[in-house]
Amino acid sequence: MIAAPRGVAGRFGALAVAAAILAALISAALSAHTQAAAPRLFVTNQAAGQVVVIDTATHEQLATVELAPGPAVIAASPDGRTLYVTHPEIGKIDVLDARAPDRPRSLSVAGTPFGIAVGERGRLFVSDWNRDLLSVIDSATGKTVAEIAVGRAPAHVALDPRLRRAYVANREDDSITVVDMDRLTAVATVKVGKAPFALAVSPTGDRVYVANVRSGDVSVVDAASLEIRNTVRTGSMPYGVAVSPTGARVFVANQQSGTVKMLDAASLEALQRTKVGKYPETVAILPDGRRLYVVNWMAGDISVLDGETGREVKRIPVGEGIRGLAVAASD
Amino acid sequence: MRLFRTAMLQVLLVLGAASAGAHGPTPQKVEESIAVAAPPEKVWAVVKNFDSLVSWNPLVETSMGTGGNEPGAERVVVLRSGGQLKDSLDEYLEDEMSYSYRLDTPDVDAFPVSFYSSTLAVKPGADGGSEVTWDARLYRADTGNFPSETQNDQAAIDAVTKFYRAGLEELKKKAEQ
Repeated sequence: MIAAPRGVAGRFGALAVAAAILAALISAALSAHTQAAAPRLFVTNQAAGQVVVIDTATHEQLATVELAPGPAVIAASPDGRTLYVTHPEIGKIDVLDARAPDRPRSLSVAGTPFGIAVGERGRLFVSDWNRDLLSVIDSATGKTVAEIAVGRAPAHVALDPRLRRAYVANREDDSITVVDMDRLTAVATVKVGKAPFALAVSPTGDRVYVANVRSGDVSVVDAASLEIRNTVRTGSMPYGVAVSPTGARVFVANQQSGTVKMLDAASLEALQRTKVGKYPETVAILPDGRRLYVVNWMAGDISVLDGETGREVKRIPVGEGIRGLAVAASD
Repeated sequence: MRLFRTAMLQVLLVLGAASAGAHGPTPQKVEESIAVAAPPEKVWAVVKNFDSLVSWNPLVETSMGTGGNEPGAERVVVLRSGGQLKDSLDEYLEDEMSYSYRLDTPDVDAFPVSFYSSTLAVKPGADGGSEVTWDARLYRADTGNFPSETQNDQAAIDAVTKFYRAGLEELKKKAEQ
């Protein structure tokens, strides 16, 4: 054993102890953070009239919430604390507290609410496929603030808080409508591919990706000019689209093909094509981009894909009839 | 108003704009399969041409097609019981012995479905045989919120199930000959 000068050893020892304590503290803080912040998946089961809550850390089911019949699309508020579920067949929107989802509140709304996106202060942007409207609803009072005419059979809705826009996919008009979120008026209509259903806005708001069911492609819309920048073939019947938090990757679920294509946003080349379960539909990505979740409608399960490679890492059985999917942080 | 809306929807359906609004109600599923004691290549040969449905489905009178087996190809399926359906091909995977198509123009009085998308696939089965799967995601004839018994979800599921079973059983017979 080599005797080191005392002072140095003492100083090193103290430093080592301090470092160890610091490391332990950081590790504890990190794991506490991980536990508190593990986002949850909220999955609608349209056939069973339920929302199933799944922990993304363990992939275990935390709760099953019984709702009125036919819940279709689900969306989270920007702060992740509240979820909203549309019931197109009975004209209802359910409001769920992410931390106590088993006590939902229900809003009665006109028409056939389908697609939904949530703005600030609980303002809901809801498509009405039967009346060809975008309804703007104050979720606190349940009052309809505005009804904005859009194209025929409006499906999904996406918001861009930077440009203050709502985008609506008009399935039977082969177009999207651009709505001013503040003035609550339609400001433009952009022709896209055939039967646009789902759409997603890039994190910086510079692009809108529109999945066209009938033409089997994605229209890449330049948000500034509102022109089609590109059209990318993805597979048969694309029904779901999501953009990674960095904006670098785009994921598209092709229902007929039973695949998810991962595109490089810069080149718009396909980086990966992954077979998932039968009839994939809604996709959602974690806030950190590490995982992508895909609802496989016919299979009744969820494919978990690696957000970097686009490969499937796991499949979670959930139940027959699952349809919509939202990710919400639980803190 | 409700009656009016239902009536309008019927008009739209007749005009062929069937999928308008079809995504609102709950989609229904049919999954049928059959084991065939013949190698996949032989089974695939019977079903591989999109417009050859008439040769292996006894409920079909004719199935004239255009466009061959390319995506976008179409076929008009005339039913023996009357009525006709127009399908279009979305995806054709020769290597996987599978193709997917959708209903473009329904005929809800003859076949109570407003829209379906469907996949037929031949896979290797037990003992050198095959397994054929035929599945569909479909919407009832009346996509309004108060469908009659002849145009509700169950009527749609029953119609598609009957059509698929008849086809698969005939296919088995033909391929095993």
